[in-house]
Amino acid sequence: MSMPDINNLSWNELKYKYIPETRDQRIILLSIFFSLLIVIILPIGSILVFSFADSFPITDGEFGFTLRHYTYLFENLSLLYEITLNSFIYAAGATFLAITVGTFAAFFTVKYLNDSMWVQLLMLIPYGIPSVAALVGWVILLGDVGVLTEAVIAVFNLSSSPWDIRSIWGMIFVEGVHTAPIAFLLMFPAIRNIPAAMDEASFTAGANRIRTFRQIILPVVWPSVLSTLLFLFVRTMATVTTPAVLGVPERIFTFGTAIPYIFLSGADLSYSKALSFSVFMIAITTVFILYYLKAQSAEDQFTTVLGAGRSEPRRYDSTILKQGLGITFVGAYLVIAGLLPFGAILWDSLVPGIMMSTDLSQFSLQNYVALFAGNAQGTFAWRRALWNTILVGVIVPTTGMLICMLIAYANQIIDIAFSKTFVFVASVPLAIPGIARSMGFLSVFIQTPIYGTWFILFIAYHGVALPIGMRYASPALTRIGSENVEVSLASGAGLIRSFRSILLPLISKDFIAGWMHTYVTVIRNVSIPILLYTAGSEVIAIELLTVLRAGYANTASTMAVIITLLSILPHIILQYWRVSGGLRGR
Amino acid sequence: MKVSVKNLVKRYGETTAVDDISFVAEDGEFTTLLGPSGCGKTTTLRSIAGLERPDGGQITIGDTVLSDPSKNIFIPTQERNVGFVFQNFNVWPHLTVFENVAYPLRVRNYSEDEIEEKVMNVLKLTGLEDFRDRPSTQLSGGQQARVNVCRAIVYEPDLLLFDEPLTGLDRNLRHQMRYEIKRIQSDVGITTVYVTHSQPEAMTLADKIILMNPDGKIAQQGTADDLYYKPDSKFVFDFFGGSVEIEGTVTNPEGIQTDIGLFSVDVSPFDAGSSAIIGFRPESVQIGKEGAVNNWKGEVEDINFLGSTYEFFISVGDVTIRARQPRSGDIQEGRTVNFHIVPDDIFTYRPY
Repeated sequence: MSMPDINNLSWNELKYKYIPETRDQRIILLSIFFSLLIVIILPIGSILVFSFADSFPITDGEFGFTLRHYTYLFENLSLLYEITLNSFIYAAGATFLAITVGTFAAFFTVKYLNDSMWVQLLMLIPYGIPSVAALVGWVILLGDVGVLTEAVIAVFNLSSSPWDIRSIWGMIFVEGVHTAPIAFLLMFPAIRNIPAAMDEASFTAGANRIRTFRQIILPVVWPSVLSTLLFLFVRTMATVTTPAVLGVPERIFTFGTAIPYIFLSGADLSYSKALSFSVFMIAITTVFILYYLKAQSAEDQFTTVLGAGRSEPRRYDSTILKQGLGITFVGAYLVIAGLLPFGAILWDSLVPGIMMSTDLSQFSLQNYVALFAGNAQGTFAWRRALWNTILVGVIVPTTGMLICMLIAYANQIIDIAFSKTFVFVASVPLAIPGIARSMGFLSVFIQTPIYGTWFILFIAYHGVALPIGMRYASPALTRIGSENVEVSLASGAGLIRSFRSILLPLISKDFIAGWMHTYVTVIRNVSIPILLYTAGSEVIAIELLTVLRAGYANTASTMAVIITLLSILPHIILQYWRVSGGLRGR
Repeated sequence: MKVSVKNLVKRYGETTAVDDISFVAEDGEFTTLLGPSGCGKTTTLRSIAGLERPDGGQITIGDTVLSDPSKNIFIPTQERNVGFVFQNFNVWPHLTVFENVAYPLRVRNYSEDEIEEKVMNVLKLTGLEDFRDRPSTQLSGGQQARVNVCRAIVYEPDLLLFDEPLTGLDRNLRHQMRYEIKRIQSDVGITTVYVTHSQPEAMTLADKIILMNPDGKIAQQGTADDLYYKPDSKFVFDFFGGSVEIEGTVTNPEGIQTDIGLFSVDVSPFDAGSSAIIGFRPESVQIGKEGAVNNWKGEVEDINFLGSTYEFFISVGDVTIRARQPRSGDIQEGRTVNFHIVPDDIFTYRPY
């Protein structure tokens, strides 16, 4: 329902616009407001405020402002410089690797493999392995005494390992390989939407394919490449898992690991320094996010000129050899990013003891039995962690999707007061690194009874859930339009009943898709629980990270198999829906 | 129930979509809001339903004021007891035919027995009783249109509103549904306001037509006959088929002098010497006939066979006159014919 221009509103109209009249409007407005307040506004606001508090946690109600924690940061410039440089090198390297693999695979799939649904699916499947699980696999394969390391030493008769996975290069390799599906996902539509006329005009002008790629295709997709680069860069810069396993043991600290392993660790533990560092980190990511938004608007302008989705792309004549090469490339990627790490953890989880064995008679489920019996090495809280993970994995996507659907409903269908602001606020977490948001929750709740309970994780994971949920809710409601709700209103139903009885069933597939995406993201997330869990509120991802860092390989690989199994099926269903055209606009 | 719209105004920013319109739909009357795209007819309908919030004027149904911004009265849609049939059928795919129709009754907490009885009554009325358990995804366009109507009338609303409900249907189905809607409305006897941009649709269905112009004002209201035969503006004349228009000068008291001669018409509304436009419809041109006045002679330039009629283009000097009659007779291209236009069928307007 359209609204009048705000500049010409009378007092009555202003009152109508900003003060909800019906009970349903008030319930919707207040539900959204309080959800966003607790999940986003308070944590982010509190980082900013408490970073200026002279001490934290606040004791005796005394609160004084100081710049001391910021001056500390900049007095220790070498530490700050080192963390920033490491983060940039790590993010740049992983992004470069991911976008190269992703773009090449996307180009080949569009031009030579006719958008093959199966090739798309194969490219996306490896992302279903949580990175904390894949890391276990990579340590087993490429660690100092890893299976592949030993094999290479034996084959080439080397005196020592030719590589060191616990290095910035190891971090780049592992993160890059596992981020490639996201690059593929973002680059595929960009290449798919280049109309055939672009290539054909170049061919008729006499250019060959290589020249066409260099002078036409690449410049045309460049805005998409740039926005994908920036998106992946910001996303990678503050990841926790890979740097925690491969960097921290070698004292290579990045944005993702500095807070848990420097500022909140050891004798110098300081919440205040962690808070001011969070603000520093948010400032850096905000700069990149602004560039990202600029790149995206350039991408949108190109899309307007190209006419997104209106015409078929030019397919290139494809020989068996070229198709074979393309499929080999995707197959090789699937082996490297999926089968190798998963095979390694599965194998290791089935072989009791430290040594890897090829003797099938030694395979057993002993590690799994030990884990569930509570006898596994390195963990005391596995069953509780599994229960907590399932609990947040089921509840958070459900409430998160409901909140997002409600926000989109308020904005797109009923145009409730402040709804545009709500949509903006719900997407703010995209710009704030997870570890900083986690710090925000810590600062809000550390002095409340919910700190140290499962409930704080439940709230904090919504910061992950809302930006994902909005990506499904907004297009779903655009597709449904307002008339279905208007029919329901004319039938006598209120806004909430119309939402429940008409809207939710109509967008159930989008709801389930968003639910699965959120679920897969929540159960693997490390950056949120790493600062918030305590004894009693452990989750699998954290438990796994802990045993892996402590070196209990068998337990880690067994946990890694389980977390992968929990994640991979919903991920595959979701990606199947996506590539088979069942989901639009994500 | 009688519906009354008084001085309704609806603005979107600087644009006035509905500009001070007033009309009454009497109890049981079928009223159509007719007009070109963007004339504000749908906005008017949505304002009656409460889906838009008017900026001025009053809407009442019976004795109840539904909206009056000057008194800060605005009853939400769900409390207005109106039935609304939308352009896109919006038959909910997750519900069966029965459940689609039962929804408004469930919202109103009717008992299961009452729901069964009322839903089956309206399904029978529209010939859908055998489809009650069919998933609505398996319905044809016509069946969806019927479900849409059933859902809007099942709870016996005070007022039934239609927003171009036949636009998505093919021609034959559109004709069939037109009569069906008229029949259902007359069986149920419910006051109806129907929005359409189709002049034949409005003429077939309506007891009263409210024709709106592109400025969001009412151009003319009355019966189909009134608007067709007594258009009071060039816009109304054009909208209802239009046809031949010739500009001339008023020569009191004889008539209007044009390039092809003098038209004997009533010129009392005009000042002598002022400009005026002559308009008449093709069927008012009587080829081969002669009257006391308004007789001409011209050459047949072209003849088109339109199925039920023939259309003739007759040139008189530099002006081409379009005529239409059921048979071509011995009229052939290139021949000179006499024709007559009845003075009562000639409309006169001031130029825009």
